[in-house]
Order: sequence, then C-alpha cells, then structure tokens
Amino acid sequence: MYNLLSVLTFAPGLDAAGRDAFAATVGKAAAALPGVRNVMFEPTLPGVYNGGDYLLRLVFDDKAAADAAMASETWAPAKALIDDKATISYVQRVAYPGGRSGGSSDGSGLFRVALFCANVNPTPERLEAFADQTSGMPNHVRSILRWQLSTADEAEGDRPWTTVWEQEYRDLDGLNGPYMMHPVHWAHVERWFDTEYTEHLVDSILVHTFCAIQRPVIV
Amino acid sequence: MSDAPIWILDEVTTKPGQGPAFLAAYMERYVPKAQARGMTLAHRMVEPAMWLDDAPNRLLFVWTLPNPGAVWGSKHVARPDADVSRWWNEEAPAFIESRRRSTLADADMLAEYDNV
Repeated sequence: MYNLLSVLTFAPGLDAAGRDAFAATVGKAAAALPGVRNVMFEPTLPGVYNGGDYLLRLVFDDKAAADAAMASETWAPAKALIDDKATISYVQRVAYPGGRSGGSSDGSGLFRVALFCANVNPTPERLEAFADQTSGMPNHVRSILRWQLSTADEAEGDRPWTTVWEQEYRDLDGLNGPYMMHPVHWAHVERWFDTEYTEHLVDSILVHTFCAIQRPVIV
Repeated sequence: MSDAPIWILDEVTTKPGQGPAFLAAYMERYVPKAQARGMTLAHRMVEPAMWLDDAPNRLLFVWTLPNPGAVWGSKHVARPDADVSRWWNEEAPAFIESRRRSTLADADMLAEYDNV
C-alpha cells in the first residue's frame, strides 16, 4: 500500500464557516478519489505538538495510483483549498509505502502519528537499530493496538521527514499513559531523540499529532 | 506508580591528564542547569582513585530523578536549551576520549515500571 499523510493548519483568520466549508469540500473529494483504499480525514484533538488542525491520510495500492488521484479532477477543489494560504497556512506532508506493521484494531479510538527527521549521523546501521527498537515498542506498550513504522520517500514541512511512526489506541489514555510511561520509551528508545545520549539521531523538531477515529486507519 | 529513583549515569573517559579539568568544567558548566531541571547529583567517582597525568581517567557521575515523570520533565527542559547541546558537542569533547549516558532503574522496580 502507498500512503499520503498531510497535517493541515488553518490560516489564523479563517472563521468557523470557512473551516466548515474546508472540511466539507476536502472530505467529499477524498471519499470520491479514484483508486483510494482508505480515507481518514479528521480534526486533531487538543494536546498535539506541531500537530495542525486536521489530519488527512489516504491509502492507495501504489504510488502511481496515488499520483493519479492527486492529479484527478475529483481532487481539484480540495487541492485549491489546501493550496490557498487564506485557508491553510501550513502543511506537513509525507508520502510513504507501508513499512513494518503489526497488531489489529477495530478502528474505534485514537490514531496517532509522529513524523521524525533522523538527520544526526544517520548511518544505515544506526537507522536500522532505531527502527528495530521503535518497532519493538508495541511488544511492551500494551495499549498500542495497531502500528506501522514507515520510511518517507517524499516529505515537506518543518523538516525533510524521514520516518512515519503511526499507532492506533483505544483512547487518548493509552497514548498519554502506557506509551509515555513505559521504560521502553523513556529509558530505551528515547536515547535516539536526546542530545545528551551518544545515540542521538533524531532532530528535536518533530510532529506529534492525533485524532479520534471510527474505523481502522493503518491498513 | 510509586516513586523510586531513576538513575542517570554519565560515564566519561577523559584524555590523558584532563580528568581534573573536565571535572571542574562539568561542575561549572553542566551541573547547575541539570540540577535546575530536577536532577540530583548523587555521586562523582573517579577511576583509578587518583588523577593520572599520562593516561585517561574514568569518571562516573550518578544522577537521580524521582520517577519517570521527572525524567520526561527534565528532558523537555533540556531539549530546547542550546547550552546543553553546546556542552556535549562543543565544550566537553576538548577533555574527553569517549562517553556514554545510561538510564537505569532498581531491579526490584522493573516489574512495576512494566505494568503501566
């Protein structure tokens, strides 16, 4: 599968009517995209960091299908709004084939995604070790129902994002509780993110965002 | 979750003859802001138990934090602080051959920390 994820931030002056019009237009276009296998288009929840106002995640069979859908007439009205600085002031965007994944969920709950830029001495060996440890987290954090760790092959935004780390939880407590407080995070994987550790790999600027979901997102 | 110390260990091997200078620099330029972030410096240990002029010394700095929440709190203050990265990446290398930081917990606490 091939995924497109956008973290969309409303322009500061956009009023409620403008936001509603944006949501209606993009939601309708996304659902009708040719070749789309899964659509998630949801407002973010309070507590995100660098996390925007809306998350748009689209899944296609492959990159060719994704490119065709984004160039289609169906998508044109949504693209016009996303490109309009009076509507959307900032976009973090990644395109990526599905990577390592696991678990299962019924899709009711919370979707969380983090975007990382692994840009501190990113040797193949260090990147592999980082991926091994990160993808091992669900073995310990029991609140992670479904997960995927992917490498971006296209990115824009605050950094040239390299890594897409996605999870589904039953609720926000699963993210703020077990995910944050298990030692596999603060004592193990966190070394890759902390400048005080010699393992430091990931830029301090990252995206951490989440939204409520009603059906499975990581497919 | 009960409070039990989390241990942060800085293990530093200095360049020959640089042990005293590194200790002084660490205490002056790193320790005060680390303490302000909630870290407590419990031990400063030197191996061997004498300063060496012609060989490396190994220094162990044992820090404690009261619980995992305090670990995150300290990290969130340190991460945007340019002085922290400047210390480790620009100032400390003048004194040291190698270093390692580790995060440890008491063995009796592992089951409790896993049960979150």
